[in-house]
Amino acid sequence: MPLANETALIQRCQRGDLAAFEQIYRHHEQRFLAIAWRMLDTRDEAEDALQDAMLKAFRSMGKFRADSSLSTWLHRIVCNTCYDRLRRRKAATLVDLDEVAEPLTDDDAEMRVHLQQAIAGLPPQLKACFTLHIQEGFKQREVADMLGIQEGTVKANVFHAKGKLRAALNERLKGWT
Amino acid sequence: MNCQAYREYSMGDMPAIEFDTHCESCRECREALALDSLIEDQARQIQVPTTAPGLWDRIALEAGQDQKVVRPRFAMPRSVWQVAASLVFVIGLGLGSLWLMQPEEASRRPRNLLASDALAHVEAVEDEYIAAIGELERLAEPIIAAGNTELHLRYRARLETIDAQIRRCQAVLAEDNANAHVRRYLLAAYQDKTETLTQLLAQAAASGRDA
Repeated sequence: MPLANETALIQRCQRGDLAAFEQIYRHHEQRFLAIAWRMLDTRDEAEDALQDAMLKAFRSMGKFRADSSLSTWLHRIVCNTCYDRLRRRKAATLVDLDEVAEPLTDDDAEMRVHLQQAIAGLPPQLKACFTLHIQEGFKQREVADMLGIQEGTVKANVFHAKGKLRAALNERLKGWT
Repeated sequence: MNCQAYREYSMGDMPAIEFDTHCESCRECREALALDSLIEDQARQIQVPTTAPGLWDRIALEAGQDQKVVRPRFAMPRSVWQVAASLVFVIGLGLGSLWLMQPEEASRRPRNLLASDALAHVEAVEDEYIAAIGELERLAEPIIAAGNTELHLRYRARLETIDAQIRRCQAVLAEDNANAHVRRYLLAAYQDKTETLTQLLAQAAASGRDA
């Protein structure tokens, strides 16, 4: 949902008004944090990426044109920043159990932790496509636009990601169905 | 998997009706479809943090640093600049003459005396916070180390975030010790840490009483 006074806030940001940018940030914080955390697996890295992304956005606000919505523009910056970090990683990050947001209360929760671990181990492009399309609910066209790849590549990546997750969790998942 | 039909369906090359019909006779595709549906459903339910305490302060801190370096440029007519330059020259000449005429003793007074006093005061306040935090940390350390509830994990995450904020401020201040803007953030971070540790200790004391 767009901010009620978005145009005025954008103009204020373009004049360097940090308080106006804070309003925009607060409006999107929860969603952006979720995207960053899902893509990067640890709170520290997610927060660092979100900080980088927001600074990029604030510094480039003067270049923002109303030919796309502010939300789309900001999402693109957040996703791209996270994706860049993901690609620069030398090895997949293991999810630290201390950082799992969910208490291990039942089998479902335990399964989700294993799934989270398996998602963290996916190659960067598969992970980015799976996270943005399946977990965050972006359309494949939107994911392609955000990551600068073809829509067909997104479909193929999601398919391969699911294949790898099936292989990683096959036995556990079978016990579940 | 060996069956190509699932791939064709996933890539949008096979209509859903045709794939449904195929699934009636293909166990492999049926199983893959069921597992994928489960994976998607569970993946969406993986919980993520909803807040990042202190993150906005970090963003504002860095953005504020930018604004100190990059000043907005104002487009003024050339004549205005010429008048301003003349004024600066005349005022500079006047102040220079006054400085040359003043007694030698007065000219030796440090010009940043007020700033130094203020800095000393701020540093004294910071030292008080550091001492108080040290004491609270000593009491809270065993509670944090032993606690494994969600609440403890949240406290630990929050304290780590505040520590990161403090480290960032200290790094900036190592370069620019008198930066009032960063000093303010550092004090806020110290205050935040003191309050968080106090809350944690109060929480632990209340739990102890309940038990």
